[in-house]
Amino acid sequence: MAHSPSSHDHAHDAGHDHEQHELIPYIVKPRPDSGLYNGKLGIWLFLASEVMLFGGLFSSYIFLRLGAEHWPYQEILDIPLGLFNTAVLICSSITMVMAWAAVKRRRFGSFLTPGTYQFYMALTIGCAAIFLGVKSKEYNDKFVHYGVFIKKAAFAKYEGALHEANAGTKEYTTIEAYEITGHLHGTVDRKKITEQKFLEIIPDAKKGGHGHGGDAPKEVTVKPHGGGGSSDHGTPIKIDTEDIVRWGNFIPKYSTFFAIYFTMTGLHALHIIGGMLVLTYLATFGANLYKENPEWLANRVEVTGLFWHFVDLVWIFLFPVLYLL
Amino acid sequence: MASHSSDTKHAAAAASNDPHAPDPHELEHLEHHIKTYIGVFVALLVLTAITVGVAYLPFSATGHIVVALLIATIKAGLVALYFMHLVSEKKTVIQIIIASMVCAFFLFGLTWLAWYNPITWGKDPYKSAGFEHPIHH
Repeated sequence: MAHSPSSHDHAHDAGHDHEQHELIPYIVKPRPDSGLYNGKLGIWLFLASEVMLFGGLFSSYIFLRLGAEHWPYQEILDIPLGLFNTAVLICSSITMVMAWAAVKRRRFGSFLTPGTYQFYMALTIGCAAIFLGVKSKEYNDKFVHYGVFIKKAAFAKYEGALHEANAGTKEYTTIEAYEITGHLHGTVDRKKITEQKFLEIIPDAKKGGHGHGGDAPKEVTVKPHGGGGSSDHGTPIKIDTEDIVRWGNFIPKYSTFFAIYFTMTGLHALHIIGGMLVLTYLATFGANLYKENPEWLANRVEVTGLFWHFVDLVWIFLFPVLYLL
Repeated sequence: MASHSSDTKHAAAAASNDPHAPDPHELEHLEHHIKTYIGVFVALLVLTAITVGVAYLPFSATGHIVVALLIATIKAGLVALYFMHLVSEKKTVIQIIIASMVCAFFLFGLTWLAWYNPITWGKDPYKSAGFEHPIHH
């Protein structure tokens, strides 16, 4: 009850709201002509610029995909993890709006009292942390996953071994090469591989192409069981470096898919981190504002919520576009 | 439920001596809104499950894109209308959103221009001029 707005100094309270309005007008009550308080107008102008930022990136995605010779279809990203993260963000959106409603209903509470402002804020921050944890696991899975482009002229040398390993291959006519993906066996050090003049790769198994119309690649690879982090089983195939056009792990420069994947999800993750910082402030030090004027805090929480829901909204598009299509 | 309505009454009674007590009318609306929020939350989870389920069905490539984007648009609409309060938002905010959407679609239009080159209308300028394509060789 220490935070109850009615339990503090009433003498100080009288005319305080009025005084505040003279210092900076319309920070608590809406401006009569626009019907908006300052923070709400500000956040919507900011969100308008965010629509442009992410809109431009989605536009680039379409352009890159139209021009790509192959585009991975449900084979590179972990759909269950993406689905889990989508659910986590939706949960954080409902707890965010409930935190705002709790201030409006004057239920400040504590981090451990269900149904109160601080409780819902703690849940929202927790969801954000889970999202980032899962996202970094997904990123790490990509960093230890490799691809090799074998020269078309030398491909016959490896065809038998790859067929035996049931490896998925993709032909690239523009660079006259075949791509195989998998996990490196032995060293991953570029210098050492250049010196020893070969690398060993345990290829990803082939998966029968399903569903996706006629323009999809006929052979689709599938990650080894368990999301592809550690496939030590399977026979490694030795490939001479002189037969390789290029090789590397799944980082932005590997392909246009990974370039746009890391750009879009990375920018989105930065938004999550930024949102988390603001949420943490509002749940701790910033929450003292409740004692002074709970409506002012409610406005700040509402504005933060608008940003948070927008970040959720961007993910709602990112998930199907990157993981499912 | 009973506790909610008694809270509302209690807040209304306190309004006379507490300058920061919530507006009782606003509180009544809020109780109603919270039910809507929970409904939207359930709808979002169901639609997420549907979008993943549909992705494994044997549709054409175009079919998959249309269905996935349609579901994503419905979900985004629910978030914007209810969580971001656009259902009852002021005209100024709606105008800002419309302006940003127009500009965003203009950006998409630029991509379209770049892809369907309006100078050659899809004809390969290199081939028309009798050159081999630089990318392929």
